[in-house]
Amino acid sequence: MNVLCIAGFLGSGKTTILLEVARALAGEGSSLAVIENEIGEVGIDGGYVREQGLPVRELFGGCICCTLQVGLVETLLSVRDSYDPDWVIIEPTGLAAPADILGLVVDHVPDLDIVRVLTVVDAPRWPVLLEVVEPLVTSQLQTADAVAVNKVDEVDGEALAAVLESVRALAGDATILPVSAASGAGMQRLLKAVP
Amino acid sequence: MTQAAGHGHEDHEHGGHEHLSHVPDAAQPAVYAARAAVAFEPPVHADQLESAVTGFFGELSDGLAGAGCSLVGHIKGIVEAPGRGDLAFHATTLGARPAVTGGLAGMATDAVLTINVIVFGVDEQALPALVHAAWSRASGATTTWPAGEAACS
Repeated sequence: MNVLCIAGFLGSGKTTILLEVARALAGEGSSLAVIENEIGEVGIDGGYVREQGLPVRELFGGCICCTLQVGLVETLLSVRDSYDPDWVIIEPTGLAAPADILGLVVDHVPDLDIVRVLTVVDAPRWPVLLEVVEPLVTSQLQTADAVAVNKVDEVDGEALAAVLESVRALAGDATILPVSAASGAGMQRLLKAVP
Repeated sequence: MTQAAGHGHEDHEHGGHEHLSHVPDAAQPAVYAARAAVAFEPPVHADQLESAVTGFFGELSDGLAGAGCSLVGHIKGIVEAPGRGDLAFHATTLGARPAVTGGLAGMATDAVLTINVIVFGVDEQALPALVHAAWSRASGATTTWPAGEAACS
């Protein structure tokens, strides 16, 4: 079983990209399951993802990188026992630090083949996110294997160049991919690079 | 397994400013999520319900701005009217027209509203009342909210 964690700040487009990645994996013949985490006591994205025909487990009322760590491990083990899919895609809350999820998964779920982190960046809001929640959004980049800089169709060339430069400086060796999940721009390249 | 530190949604400290402890930190998220039963008396047409959703965002934006909101994480939700369809909506900017998907048809007498709001710089204790008031003004409906839904308190 392989794990892909799709991290990124609230409203960055994680669910939209998750569905595209899921469709691509399914199109290659991979079986998959999705774990949706929402910090509130009721969820919305899980129902939407389920409507697209994907098996979904939902974790509500906390964050899997801290308060729901045990729930995440139990859910992953349960998914393996029930479905044993080729891929599990985890969508944490937009407040989660993927490094904590990565460590948790690697430490507590044995015999995983591949574990990857894709972080989604909201290009139009990147400057304000750096202003208000810099520690969080920078932490979301630091363990990423790939970064999708999303909504590139909503910023001009100069602004996009600034976002890419900023992300590149924070994301280490991660592959950085400008995309628009809404228009489809750059998505083929993303789907080839991830996972 | 221990609780991770560093991303702030567990930390409600305002170090060094005890006398200002009621003032929310601009980087501190406030979360409110709830599922509410909505009753329309008289019944409303789908178009009115869609207008209510748009109006709700305007009302909530005003309320959040007045409450010191520094950043919208997301405001998203879905209105499900039995036999009439559903309407999902989301926004990440105060005052912006929400992105809406789905559709409603005919007259609705009742609906279920699921709402998930994460904003920064707002007192989490004040958030439910802001959401309730905005929905009430925009919809004019009788809405039954569950008690004690605030998360991460």
